[in-house]
Amino acid sequence: MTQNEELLQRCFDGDVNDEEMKNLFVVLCKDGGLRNTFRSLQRLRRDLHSIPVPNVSPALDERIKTLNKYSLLRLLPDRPSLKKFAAKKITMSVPAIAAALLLMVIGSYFAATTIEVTPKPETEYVYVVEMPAYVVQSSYQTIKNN
Amino acid sequence: MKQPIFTDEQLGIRFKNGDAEAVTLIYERYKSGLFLFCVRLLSDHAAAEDVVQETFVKMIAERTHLKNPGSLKSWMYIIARNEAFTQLHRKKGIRELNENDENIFQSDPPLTEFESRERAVILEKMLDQLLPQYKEVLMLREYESMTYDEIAVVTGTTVSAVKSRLFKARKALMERLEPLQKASAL
Repeated sequence: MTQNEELLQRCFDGDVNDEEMKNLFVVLCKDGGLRNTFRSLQRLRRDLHSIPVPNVSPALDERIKTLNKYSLLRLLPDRPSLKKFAAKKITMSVPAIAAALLLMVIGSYFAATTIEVTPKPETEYVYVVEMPAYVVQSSYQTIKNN
Repeated sequence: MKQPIFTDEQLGIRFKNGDAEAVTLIYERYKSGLFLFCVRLLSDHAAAEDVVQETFVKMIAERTHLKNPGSLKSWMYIIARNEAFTQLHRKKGIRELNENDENIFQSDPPLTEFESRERAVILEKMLDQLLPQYKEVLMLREYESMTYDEIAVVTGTTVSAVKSRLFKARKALMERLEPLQKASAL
């Protein structure tokens, strides 16, 4: 694209100031080829706008309507409390990182140390396996007398 | 009763604040242009409808990302454009763009096939054959009257790239239409 062609296009798209417009007018008076290009551009624009425009189908209207209806929840205004929470950032990054490292070191020390567990003293249980017959007899007599 | 006319910025603010009516107003204002942009990019009505719907789904979901409510239109076109390009990639893949490449058409439509048809129909076919990167700038300029800066924002390119692509697209179309013009003059 030459400089004149660029100027011509900008003029065609309404992107020039008065000074540039004057310059282009001078160039157009001298350059027949550029005048032809300008005419072709005008014709092309007319043709482009003569192409039938496809209509938006009622089905699409309905789809957007439904979409809008069911997205009402998503359209609810943001909750300020959540927003405030989300906006919170760790500003003291260096102390935070230092604290995290310290925790890691302490944690690894404890992980490496084996903790000695002292065994609990065994409890002695006395099981009554069999009751002597005289005890049973005497108990029976006592209950009977009472 | 007549509805009050809101500016894009007012609509953008209402939309960002979760006003469901704003979605309807935005859709009503931009549906034709947005749909046309998607149809031309995709050359497929059904796919274009899907893209428009997906654009609104994403807009609603990501409404808090709209930094400047005044640039609502550009933001909406960025989403639609990205969605359309995703579809194009999925469907047939997009040729990597070489700015120095002279041929900006995806394939070569045989002109003789269209000679007997109307000029507008021929032009529409030619538009379909343009590479999407050229098609989008032409659409946004001619149908949406966006400035070079706005087009650069939507397409994620520089202003000079926009100007260059626009010029190449117009030139290529003019060159292809020229024989028809001569034929009709005879």
